[in-house]
Amino acid sequence: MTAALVPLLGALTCLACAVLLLRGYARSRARLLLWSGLCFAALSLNNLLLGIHLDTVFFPDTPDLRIAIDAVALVGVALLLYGLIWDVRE
Amino acid sequence: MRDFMEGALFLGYLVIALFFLRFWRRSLDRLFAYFALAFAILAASRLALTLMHLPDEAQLLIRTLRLVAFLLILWAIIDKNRRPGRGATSP
Amino acid sequence: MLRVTQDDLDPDVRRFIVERVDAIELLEVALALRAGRDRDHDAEGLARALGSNAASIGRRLRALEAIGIARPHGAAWRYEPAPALDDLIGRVERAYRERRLSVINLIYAPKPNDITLFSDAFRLRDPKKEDER
Repeated sequence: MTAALVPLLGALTCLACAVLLLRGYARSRARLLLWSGLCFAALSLNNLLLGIHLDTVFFPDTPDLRIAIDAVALVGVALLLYGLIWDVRE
Repeated sequence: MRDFMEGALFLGYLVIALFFLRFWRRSLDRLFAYFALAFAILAASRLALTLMHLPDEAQLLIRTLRLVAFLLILWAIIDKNRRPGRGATSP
Repeated sequence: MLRVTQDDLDPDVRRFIVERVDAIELLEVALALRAGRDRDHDAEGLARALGSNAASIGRRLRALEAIGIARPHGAAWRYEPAPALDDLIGRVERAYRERRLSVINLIYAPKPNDITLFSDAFRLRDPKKEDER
């Protein structure tokens, strides 16, 4: 049970960030907030899957599953990097 | 394949941390310092995972690092919503 | 960081000032052109009238050209905006006349950029209301 606590806290934290950033995007239409909001949403999902995965026997521990969980995080990171490189107006 | 993704995530988190570091220097807003540190720690946790040949994230060290990273982000949000000053790094 | 909201100004006027006006000088040149809209102007004449130097006024004139307010004809400049823009500038002029300090504060307030917007997104309460202290 305790192994899942950290990822679940991570999922909630990232979800909060995603909600705040996407709300900010809705208000201001600043694209950086869109990319970062999506990134945190992906990281939240990644943490959620990790938490579920670590704590139950529902998922067999196949390498493919770990790769898929990592892929979710990687998609989020890629989106944010794209936004940071191309879409920051200063 | 797994190693590739781990490596990509390590680098990704690190670069994001560097961007947040830059934003902190530009704006002197503490929130970016916290985010930079959090992502740097997430990167470090990936590095530790690989260097120490740990099987997965359940290991105590990794869990602790990630916990610290998430707590930093939560603290950044709390700090931003306290009055007064609203997050400027004191010179 | 001091963020100033001027809720007493017309929203279109606010947006124009925040997005386009980075100095009082720009505004004064635009209004001087508008006041003499049937005449040609030149940088030296405007500099004398407004109390600045010709080089600086020249820069502002070119900026106004980019916005679509002024047009050069050889060495002379004229006030030639699209009609909708003329209406907006008229409102800006009235705001500047009636609420001079509000306009000046708004011109020199830090302009929102992506970095401040990112940080502001984490304010749980409405940031606009926060600034009314």
